[in-house]
Amino acid sequence: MNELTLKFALSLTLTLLLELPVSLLFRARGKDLLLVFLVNVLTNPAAVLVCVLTGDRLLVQIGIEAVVILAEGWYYRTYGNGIRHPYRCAAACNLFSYITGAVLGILL
Amino acid sequence: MKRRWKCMTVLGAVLIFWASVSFTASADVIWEPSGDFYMENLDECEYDGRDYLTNGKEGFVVVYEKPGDSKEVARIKNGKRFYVGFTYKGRGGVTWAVLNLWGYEPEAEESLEPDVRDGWVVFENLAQVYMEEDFRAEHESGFADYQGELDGYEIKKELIFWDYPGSGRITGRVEEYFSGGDSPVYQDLYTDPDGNRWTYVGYYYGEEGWVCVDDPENGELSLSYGPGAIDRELYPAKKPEGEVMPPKTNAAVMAGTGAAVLLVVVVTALLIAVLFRKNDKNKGE
Repeated sequence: MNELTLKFALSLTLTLLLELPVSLLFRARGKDLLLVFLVNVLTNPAAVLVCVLTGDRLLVQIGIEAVVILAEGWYYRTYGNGIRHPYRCAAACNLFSYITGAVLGILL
Repeated sequence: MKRRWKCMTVLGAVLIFWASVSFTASADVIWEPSGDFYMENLDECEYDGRDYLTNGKEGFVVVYEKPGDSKEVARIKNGKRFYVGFTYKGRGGVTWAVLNLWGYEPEAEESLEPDVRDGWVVFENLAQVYMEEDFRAEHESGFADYQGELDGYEIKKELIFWDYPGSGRITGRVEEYFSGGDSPVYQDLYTDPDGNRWTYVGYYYGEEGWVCVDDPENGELSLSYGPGAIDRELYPAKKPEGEVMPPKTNAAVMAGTGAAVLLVVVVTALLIAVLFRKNDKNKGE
């Protein structure tokens, strides 16, 4: 597995491990959890690709996170069944995973 | 007004002095590659400053003029030690390292373009070398203070400087003290597993390294332990021959990756639309 593929795989895995539990706090249950899973599969690789293409610059990362939050919030609102405050859910999930990822990056 | 100009002149002088000292200091200390690629990608090159052994899976490494380029400047067998100044992470996910080739004499089976001073290899084809700084990090807590153990020592033939205790690598030899008896400044005292004492010389007229206090002139020390471990499989050296494809160009890799990501996005979006359509319809009602 080359470095790029590993980056995609690790990023998606970490994102799912972090965001799924956070979505539980916003009443995501049953099929909603599948939605959270699929929405992250949709947004995360694309976000990582843009970061790689732009050299992982901080401002770009912030911009990407904002777009991802809006996109995921829209999906939760449109297709979610019981997710409370879909945009807040998306914001909380993504901020938590971003900050955790940044801290892990520093520590490791 | 005059006072303001005076202040600005003084401030400007201080800034110029600071800048000249900073840049001069960095130019003295850090080796930089000579090619255009490095200057054009300065921000993306990361300082490394360590030695590595060539360790290609084919038994040799191919050195290119620049990362991702197909133009070869050298082919070098495995097991050769080089200084890596900087690494560059290509957008295709391949990390490259620039080797300092200055002064390298290729073997008969190897090749090196004339007047080439440095070149780029795939970083994966290098094995990290255990260096003095690693030895120091590992053993520093056990160092004692140098208490003059080698003060007044008279050189009979030559004083041997080693990379680090047990390295097996001689970094310098001094036949007589410079400047009419100016002996090295020794620091730290390390006792190895065999009970030999060693002391470190940070700088002595261009030489640096560890001197064995108990046998300072023996260039063939017999020790029960060896160099520090290289945590990497080392491939045997082979004659550099045959066609070696350079790693895929960044553009080709990124195009392929982009297409794969787009496919994932489209398929997942459709999947969501299909699986959760019921919710969509209910909301419409």
